[in-house]
Amino acid sequence: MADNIDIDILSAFRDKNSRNYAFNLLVKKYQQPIYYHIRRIVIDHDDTDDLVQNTFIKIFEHLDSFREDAQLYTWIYRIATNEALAFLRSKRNKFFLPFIDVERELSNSLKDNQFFNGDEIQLKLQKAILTLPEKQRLVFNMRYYEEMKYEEMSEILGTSVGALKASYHIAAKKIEEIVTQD
Amino acid sequence: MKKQHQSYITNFKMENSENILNEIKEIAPTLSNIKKENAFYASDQYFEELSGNIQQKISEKKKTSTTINLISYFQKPQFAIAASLIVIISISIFYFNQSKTNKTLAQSNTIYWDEILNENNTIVDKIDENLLVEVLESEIASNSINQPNNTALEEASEYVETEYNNDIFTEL
Repeated sequence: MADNIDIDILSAFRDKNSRNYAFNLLVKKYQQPIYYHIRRIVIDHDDTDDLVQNTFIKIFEHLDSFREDAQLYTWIYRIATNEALAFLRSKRNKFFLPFIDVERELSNSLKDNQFFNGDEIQLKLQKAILTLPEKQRLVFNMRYYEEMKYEEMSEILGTSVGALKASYHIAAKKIEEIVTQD
Repeated sequence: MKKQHQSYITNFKMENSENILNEIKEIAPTLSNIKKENAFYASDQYFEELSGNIQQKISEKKKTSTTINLISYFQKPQFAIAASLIVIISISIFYFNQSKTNKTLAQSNTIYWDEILNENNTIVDKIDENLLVEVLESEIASNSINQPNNTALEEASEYVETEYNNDIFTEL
């Protein structure tokens, strides 16, 4: 998905006089999709806020060295995904918790979360998603909610299209099983 | 041209959405019946302020990184070696100068005492030994040996003292 706006942003960013303006445009364009992408991984709003800001700061610092052989869109998503996954990893290491406990902790925090406004079915769906292993959860969210093409996901996650299709298939089956219970 | 591009993207996205919907219907029919909505919430105000907050963080980070760069510059091994060398050289110069001063002082003291001794020798040289002996002998001759005349000795001492005081202490 070649985007003319991204090309304009990049050329404006390379000019020192219009750098801040270009970066502002970039943030305005990507802030919402990046926010929700990270939010679905870490669940908590405050953690998401920190990670979104860190992501854009990293983008600002490295945009000069961005090579246009990849799309700006996938490059930004890759940074955001890495930030979010690194955060979860550090959380696990910090509390010496196995993987499942962090996901359970996130799942428990959903109901009391003032920034979660879903009904009972949505809550059930989100809890079902949180039972998935990290990679499957990521793939499911990117495909189901963010409606990404497998090729784009492949570029962001560095996984083959075939493997992503299989992951998505397994993830959707698991969720179906949970939501059809009782 | 831009409108054409945007409508292409919209059509493309819709096409992708339809594909995804059909895909999920096949894999998970119950899930496909659940309304797809964003259950996570963030206010519009949050997104309005986000850009400004990020810009502020960037400028704060720039300031901090300038200070850190400056500190890390001084922490570089080359700088540490250079600084150590400067300190060592400074200390060496300081001690060298100090020992030089002490040496000069010691030398000047030596010169001082040498001068005094030389001058004493000059004074001793100046004393007329023959005259002194003559005076002493004449005094001894005019008095008995058993009763030494203190006057002669006193005169001799007085003579030496006078010469000595005049020549040494006045000069000092």
